[in-house]
Amino acid sequence: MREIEIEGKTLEDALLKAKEILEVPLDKIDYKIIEYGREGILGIGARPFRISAWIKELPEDILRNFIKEILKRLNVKGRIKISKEEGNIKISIEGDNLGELIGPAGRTLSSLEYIIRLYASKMQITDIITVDIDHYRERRERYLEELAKKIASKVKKEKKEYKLKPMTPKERRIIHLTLQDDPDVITYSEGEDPERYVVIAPKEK
Amino acid sequence: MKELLEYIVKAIVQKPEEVEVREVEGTKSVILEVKVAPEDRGRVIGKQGQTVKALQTIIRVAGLKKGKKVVIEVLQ
Repeated sequence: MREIEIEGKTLEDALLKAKEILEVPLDKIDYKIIEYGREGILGIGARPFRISAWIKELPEDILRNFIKEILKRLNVKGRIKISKEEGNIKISIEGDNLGELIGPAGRTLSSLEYIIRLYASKMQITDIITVDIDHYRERRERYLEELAKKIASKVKKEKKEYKLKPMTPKERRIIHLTLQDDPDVITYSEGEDPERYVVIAPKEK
Repeated sequence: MKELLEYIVKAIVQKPEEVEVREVEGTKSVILEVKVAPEDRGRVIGKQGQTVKALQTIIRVAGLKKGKKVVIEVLQ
């Protein structure tokens, strides 16, 4: 990161000089005041403002670098794709043999996402961040939708309720949403996290 | 493992210069002792230990390759 130190009669003056040197628009510049100046009376007792200034990094670049450093230290090779739109940052890590980075039931992926979010909040990135590895979440979502429908038809046929395996709140939501418009079954959750599970039961009429 | 943990912890705390990680290696497991500035302890541990748990899960991937269990201890 290129950081420059600069003086100006006023803060604005110093920032304008910084803009000339860094050759980027003002809104791409971050700065820290090293010394507060004052204008003095008719220039008597005047002291310049001293600031250090640098080009603001994009949230995508900050996050990409953080993940790159983690993968390097894990000895894992992966491509990092990041897209940003309307306050959402989507991160996708792709490559071969990323199974261990996903972990059992996606637990390592969730941990990674949690740490990335924590880092982002420290870096004052306010976008909502989601992380996926090798489209695991996408595939898992489709699997859960199919599972919900399959079990629902079993419940209807046997007129007996059915308990699913424990799932994360996000996964349980997928089950509830998939079956919310089904007139013949109801869904609800039971138990305590991380053992909380969804029950699919026939709707009493 | 130590290097990975040190990197992540330094990235999430307010005072990275005060982060120290020590690796104590046993026959079956590795204990990683983490020392941070007092005001950063809460951040490293997290609500109900959530952050330590997440760190542990990630570091385990590195431990797996060595065939060892990894335990993270945040020192007082």
